[in-house]
Parts: sequence; C-alpha cells; structure tokens
Amino acid sequence: MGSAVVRPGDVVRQQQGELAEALVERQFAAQPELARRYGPTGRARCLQDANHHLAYLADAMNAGDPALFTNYVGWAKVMLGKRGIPMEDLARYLDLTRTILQDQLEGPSADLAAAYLGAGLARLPSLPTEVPAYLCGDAPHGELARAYLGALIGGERHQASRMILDAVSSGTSVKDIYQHVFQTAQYEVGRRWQQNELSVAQEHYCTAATQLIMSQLYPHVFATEKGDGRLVAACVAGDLHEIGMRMVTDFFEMDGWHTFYLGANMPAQGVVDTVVQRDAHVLAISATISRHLQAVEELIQQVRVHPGCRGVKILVGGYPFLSLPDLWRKMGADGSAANAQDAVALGNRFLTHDGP
Amino acid sequence: MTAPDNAPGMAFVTTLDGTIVRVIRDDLGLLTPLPAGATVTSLMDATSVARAAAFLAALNERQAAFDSALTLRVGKHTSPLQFAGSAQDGRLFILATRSGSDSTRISDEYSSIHNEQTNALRAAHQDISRQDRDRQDRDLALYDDLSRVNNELATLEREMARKNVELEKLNAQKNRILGIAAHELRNPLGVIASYSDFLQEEAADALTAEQLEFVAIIKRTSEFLLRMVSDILDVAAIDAGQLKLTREPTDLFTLMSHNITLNRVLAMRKGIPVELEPMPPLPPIPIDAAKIEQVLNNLVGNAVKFSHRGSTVRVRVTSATDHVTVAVQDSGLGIPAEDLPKLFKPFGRTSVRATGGEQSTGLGLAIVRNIVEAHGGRIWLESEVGRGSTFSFTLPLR
Repeated sequence: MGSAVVRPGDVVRQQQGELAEALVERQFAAQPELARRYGPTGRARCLQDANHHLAYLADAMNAGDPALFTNYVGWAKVMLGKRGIPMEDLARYLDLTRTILQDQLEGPSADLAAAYLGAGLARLPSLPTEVPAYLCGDAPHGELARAYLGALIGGERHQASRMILDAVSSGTSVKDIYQHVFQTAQYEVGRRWQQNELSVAQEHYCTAATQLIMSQLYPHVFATEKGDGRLVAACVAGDLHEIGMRMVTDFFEMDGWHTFYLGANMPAQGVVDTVVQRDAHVLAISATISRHLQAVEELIQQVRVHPGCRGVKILVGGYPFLSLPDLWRKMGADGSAANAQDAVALGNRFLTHDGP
Repeated sequence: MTAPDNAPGMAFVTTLDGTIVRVIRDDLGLLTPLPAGATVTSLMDATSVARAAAFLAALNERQAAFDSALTLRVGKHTSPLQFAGSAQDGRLFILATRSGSDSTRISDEYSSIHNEQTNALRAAHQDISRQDRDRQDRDLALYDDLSRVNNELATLEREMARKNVELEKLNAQKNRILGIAAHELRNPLGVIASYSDFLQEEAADALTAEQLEFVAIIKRTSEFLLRMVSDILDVAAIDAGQLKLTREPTDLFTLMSHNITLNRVLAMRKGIPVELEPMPPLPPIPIDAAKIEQVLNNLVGNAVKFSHRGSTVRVRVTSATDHVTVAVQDSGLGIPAEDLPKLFKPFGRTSVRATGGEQSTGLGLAIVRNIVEAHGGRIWLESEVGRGSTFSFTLPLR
C-alpha cells in the first residue's frame, strides 16, 4: 500500500471540491425553497456538509470496507433524525450523491462509490434511530458515573471533582474511575450530543472538566514503580477527541511503563523523532473517526521507513478500529485493542516477545 | 391553556403603539373574537408586560425585531411564544409563534400573498438568521480552538506531573548520595584533626615555628571541613524529611545560661562580651534541647563572627501568652537588603565578610530555620548596614 498507488478513494478526494459543488447545485435545484430559506450562508454550510460526506466515503473506499461508510450513515441518521430531518431526506441525499458520482467519476472508482452508497442506502431503513444509553445503574460504578455526569451537565465541575477524589480516597482504583466513570460519561456525552440533547458548549465543557479532574489523579497515576517498557502515544493531527488516548497512556503508566504522551498537535515527524529519542518499544496511535484514518496510515508509513524506529511495535485504537476488527492490519499496524486494559496486555506481550 | 402542538401561531397588524387593528391568522384561538381595544401589552402575562413594551419600542425604532420570548395570558393560563415583527407604512406586522422555525414557516406561507409587510419581515428575518448562523459558525470555531488549547494544557500538565515525580526521585537520590559521601568523609577528617591536635600538643618542641603554623592550618581546615560535613548531613536529613525532634519539657533559663556561658568563652577570644539579659519566669517548654542549642550556637556564633572587637552581643528572651521570643542582637556589620532573600537558603552566602576572617559553611542559617520551623516557630531578621543585626525566633510554649 505504497503512497504512489492511487487508491479508489483518492479519486473521490481529488475531485471532492467539484463533486461537492455539483451535489449542492443539484440539491438546491431539486429543493428551491432551500435557497430562499437559508440564502448564501446556508448554501456554504451545505457545501461544507457535502465535503464532509464525500470525505467519509473516500476514507471508507480507501480502507476497502463499506461498513465504515454504513457506520457513518447510521451516525448521521440518528444525528439528523433528532434534529427534525427525516430519514427520507437522508436517503434522497445519498441517492443524489450516487447519481452524481456515477456521472462524474470514471472506471472502477465510480462503481465502487456507487456500491458503497448503495450499501449505505440499503441498510439505512434498518439502522437504529436511537443510540442506547451508556449509563446503566447496574454497571460497575454505574451510580457514580451517573452522578458524575449529572454534575458536569449541571456545570458543577467542583462537585464532580469532589465525587471522584472521595471515591479514590475511599479505595476505588484509578483504573476503575477511568474505565467506568470517565469513559462511560464521555461516551454518554457524545451520545447525547448526537441525539440533540446536549449543546456543543456542554459537550466541550464536560470534556474539559474531565481532563482537569484526570489531572488531579496524576499523583496516583505516576506513583507506580517503573519497569522497562517505553511508550510513545499520540493522536493524529486534527483529532480533537484525544481524551481516550490520554486514558490509555495513563493505563500504561499505571502498569509501570515510561510513557510519553504527545497529544494531537504533534506533526508526524515530531512523533517519529520522539519514538527515536525515547527508544520506544511501542507507539500507540488513536483515531476517533474514520476521517483520521489516512493520517494514521501516513504516520505508520513514516515510522516504518525510519531506520531509527526499527523494531518499534505500533498499536492503533479508536472507534473505526472497534467496528472493523481487521482494519489495523490494513493500516500496517501491529495490533489493536478494544480498551485500555487490553492495550496494556498487548503492549506487555510485545515487550516480552520482542524486548531488548 | 397552552397552544396546541400543531398550531404554528398567530399574525396580526397593530398601530405603532401596539393596538391590534387586524388579525391575519390565529391558530391559537387567542384573538377570536378580537377584544375591543386589545393591545399587545394587554395580552401579556404580568411577567412579560415590560418586555412586550420593549419589543414594541424596538419595532418602532429599528423597523424590525425578532426572537422576543413573551408569555401571553389567557384566562388563568399562560402561553410562552416567540414574537417577531416589522414596521411598514405606520403599521406593525407581528408574528407570534411557538418556535423560531414556525416563524419562518408562517412567513414562507405568507410570501405567496406578496404582502409587502410579510416580505419585509421575511427579508429582515433572513438577515437576522444569517447573522445568527455566522455567529454560530464563529462560536463553533472558537469551541474547537478552546478545545485545542485545553488539550495542550492538559498534555503539558501531564508532562509536568511526570517530571515532578522524576525530580522528587532524583532529589531523594541526591540526598542519599550526599549523606553517604559526607559519612565517608567524616572519619578520615576526624583522624586528620586529631593527629594535628596530637602534633600541636605532643610534638611542639620538635617542630619549627613555621611547621607549627602549618599544623595549625591543617587543624583549622580539617575542623572546618568536619563542620561542613556535619552541616551537609543535617541539610540532607532535613531535605529528606528526616529531621526528627526529641521534645522534652525544658527549662529555657538553664539551657540559655549554660549555652551563653560556653559561647562567651569563644567570644572573649575576639574581645566581644556576650550578655544574657534578665529573663521572665517561664514554665518548662517542650523543645529538643540539643537542636535549640545548635540554633543558639549558630546565631551567637554568627553575631560574634560579624562584630567588631569591643562591641557587645546581647541575647534577650521575652514571653507572650503562647510563645517565647529569643533575640540575638549585635552591633556589627549588618546585612544589605539585597542579601536578605537568600539568607536562610543553603549556600546563600551574603556579601558580608567575617571581621576575623572566620569561614562559613553557608548552611548554618538554613539548618537553623528548619529546626525553628520544625518546632512550630518562626525566625526573622532586622538589620541595618553598619549598625548591626538582630535575629529573632519564636518557640511555642505548648
């Protein structure tokens, strides 16, 4: 999968601008009231959306898996449905997209795009209209998670912080807090935003507050005696949802690894340099949405060709890898894990089998 | 009564002061029949009258007003609605709907009539909606930027927490190594000091005056190094949190008298009398006597070190309800203000030189401060260059 090969999704990506223009043109021609109602700003926003849809399609085509695009359609169905846009509108839109791509693309890319859109359309009616809640009372620490999220949504971060610190001082492990409270609360926040029950501002507030509260637990996280393992962790550029990777990195730290967390704004070269400089055993990369898969793949390629990174094992994670169990192989990684605990177990296996 | 869910709202025309003159649409059934002389404000619940007046004023002033949330009163019930309106040819055209999108819906429906009033309203509404969307776009971009900044801060904070733990470990390691090194130095230094002592006393007759001077230098230097090693061990112990006090009820008068007598002998060599002023009666106080003697030795020793021959060092004890204050005053060189901040820090040497060329380890005052603070007291200094210094410290009575 060298960079010189033009993949089917790249064809969509190269023409994305023109395709999006054509799509909006046809959409507005079919529904003249859109122009009257929303004017030029509305049109610009529709263009933005069209680019977004096409990018998801291109990513799925490059990853070679229509399920990635169908997942996106499912996400859009819930998100739009909860904002008063019926499934039929989404179906019409996907159909229109298929027509335009068939008209404007040539060869195998056109057929593949049509097949992916067709798959999405076929599944659309049976895809759920709601996402089930992540919070349930009988889950481990379910009550704490519910109270914690309630406090954050009410803007009471001090209260939320006190709940967590009290729980830790009365013996709840930091790992449990991460997994059963922070992670569950973050998933639930995402779900409620998708279902139009939380505003963007509330979503950002919850994430920021959880990051702050996590930092209050650092004295516990960094207290572990250190072993030999060295981990460099990064989210690919552009991914704002980095809290999951941060939690995974802290799990490694609590397992005695030396960890170096680079966040999301580190360019690929910076990640490679850190891997070399820290003589890392494992590089962990996360992508929250399939839009970021290309960046993951490019980063992996850079690591693979660098002589100083020979022997480093690459672990990938995030939502797209959860839904497609084989995706990590296609991306050129050495493994993927469904949660932080499994990621650490895999890291330890890498260490014992290929350790210095 | 609240408006039925499927009712988009109502539309009516009023005079500029808000008297309703024509009802165009009334899905909510609030204006049918139209009460005589009904005004916009007369329809309102008491909580919304002032805001309704402001809405009318805005319409008159700016020709259009939107997104005014007003509550109507109908009999015993209230009904919250969104008000929008435009002014045209001396009349106000007003829409009251359950939501903003209903307002767009109604004005869309009316646009087919080509009513100038509805056109004006729609144009103005579009304008406002566009501004709204632009603002929302800007807000979203700002949220993302804030998230980026917050992520970076969280990453830096994590890195800092990690480094902090590393530094604490390194510091503990440094103290351990320092302690071991100092321990290993103490024995050979003790041997050198004792043998030079022996040479001075037993072999003085066999040595020339110059050789005796060499021996004296060896003795002085090795004693200084011993003191330095002992201070370093103290500082390392304090840094490692190992300063342990053995507190016992102690008669401060006995302790002070004994200590000052010993210090007086050393001070007399420089011709400096040390005076202990009369002390108030005190109950026994819980202190580590050996450590407080160390504090006194250091403070009185310093006072002598930085005083001129013939001047006096005074030690004074005063008592308050819950503590005593011990002050050691000299009329020596004094310490410049710029040296004060580093005075109680390890190796925080000042620019002042001892009057008799005595050496300092630079650790004494750091140790003194730690001992005093470990007792729950505090230490401070008043000083004036050329007029002398007073070091004072407190000790709690209980």
